[in-house]
Amino acid sequence: MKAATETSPALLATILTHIQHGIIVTDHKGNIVLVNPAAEGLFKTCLGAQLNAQKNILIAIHTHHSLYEAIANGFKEKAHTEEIAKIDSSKGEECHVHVVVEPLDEGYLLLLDNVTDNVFAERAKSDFVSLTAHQLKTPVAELKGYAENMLSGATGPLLDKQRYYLEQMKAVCDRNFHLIENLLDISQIEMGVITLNLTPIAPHLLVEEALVDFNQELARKGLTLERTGFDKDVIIFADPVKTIEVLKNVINNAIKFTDEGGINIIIEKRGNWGVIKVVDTGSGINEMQREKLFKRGGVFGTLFMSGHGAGLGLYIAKEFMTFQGGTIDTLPSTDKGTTIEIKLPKFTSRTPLGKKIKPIQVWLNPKGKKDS
Amino acid sequence: MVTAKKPVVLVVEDEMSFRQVYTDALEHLGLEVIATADGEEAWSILWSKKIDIVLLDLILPKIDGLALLQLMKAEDTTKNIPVVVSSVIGDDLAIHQAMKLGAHKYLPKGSTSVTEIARIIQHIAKAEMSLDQSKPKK
Repeated sequence: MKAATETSPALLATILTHIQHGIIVTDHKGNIVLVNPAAEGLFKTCLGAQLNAQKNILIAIHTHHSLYEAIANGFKEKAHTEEIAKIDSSKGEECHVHVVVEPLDEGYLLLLDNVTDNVFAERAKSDFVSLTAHQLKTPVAELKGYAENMLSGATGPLLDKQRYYLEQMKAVCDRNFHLIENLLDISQIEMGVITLNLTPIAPHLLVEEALVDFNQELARKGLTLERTGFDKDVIIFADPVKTIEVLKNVINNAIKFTDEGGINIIIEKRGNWGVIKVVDTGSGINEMQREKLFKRGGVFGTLFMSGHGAGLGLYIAKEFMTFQGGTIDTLPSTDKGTTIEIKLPKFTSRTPLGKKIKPIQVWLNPKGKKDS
Repeated sequence: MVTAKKPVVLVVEDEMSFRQVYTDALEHLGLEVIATADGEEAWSILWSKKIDIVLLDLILPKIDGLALLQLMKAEDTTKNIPVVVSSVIGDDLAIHQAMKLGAHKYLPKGSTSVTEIARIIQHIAKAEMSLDQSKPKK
């Protein structure tokens, strides 16, 4: 293959003319050296501006705050940077531009792509999932609420048979609500639209939030609950909502498969990680089940047929942990029971605390790999 | 004999069924409940009655939950009233924004039981009332 430097200027000019990416080359001060037709077209569409009339890229875009920031950041970093900038076009329409800034010996290379259609498609998917979530969850939550209030005595005393019927109704609602939540999570994962809100947080706070839903079930089954290491001084960098959901899935399984003894939740510091272990004294899992545990549908088969769920919760847990740069795994156990270990990055002084941390939109391609 | 004052909860919830179950659960625990279906009426109630704690849905007509929370936090009269957000939507960003705006707690509707939500609200309201009573009176 010929090196780019050996290619004729005429051929390079043809490539620059016909390539779909907008290409701008500037010197170190942002003065424009080269602009291709795609960049001209993008500027006309999104900014209503003629780029070839401009001398400096930062001056040309100074009224478009998000685009200015994206390019100025790239110049400041003097390293490869990528961002998506939102622009309100001259016609009042929304425009989204994917900006890559690459430093060169003589200045900078800017690659620009109009990704507005992609952004709108992702937003439509996300809105669809949110709307579906609301429409599916609300009726089940309503039924649950009525049953819970009647069982708590808020509507008066109950006959034994009434109590039994209501307990069954509540159990059906619980299972269905959990299934709907899992299916909606899978839908978001498969559609490739997940929002992460990473923040420094103490892991014991997340565990306590996750445990709120399980006090009654622990009491009903007569299981003990121990907390170890909750006083440890460790801060992790995590999405609280996603991590609580992971913990709920793990704790739910631990309780489901434990009929005597109890659960111990252990918090540890280990190198660059904050670690949360959920240890139960339940029936344990064999090697074959361990291999499939975090795979989609991994525990279909006998466990599913005996009413223990569709095996989606731990698959979702693994995906959510991976998005956050964490891990989840089972530990080999010589005793009865199962240990699930969750690791998340520790929040350190190197994490930019002073900088405002924006929610990170993690976009995936259909095969589930991160694009940014 | 002095009767202990009941904590007053403002329930802001547009779904009639949830207004009903929250009101029943909270009254069963001995709290006084004022319930409303929209954010605008809630804002009006906050200025006319002594409210100890707010249970707030995020999706509301007229003024939505986040906007109401923002209004509350901007005013001296209402900024210290604890707000518990409970919603069934899967919008993590809205929940994150609510916590950033100063919501005391988020309790997911449906997965956290109504009785547990009521118990947590009772606990927070009583703690706030004890704090108020221990402050020196001007």
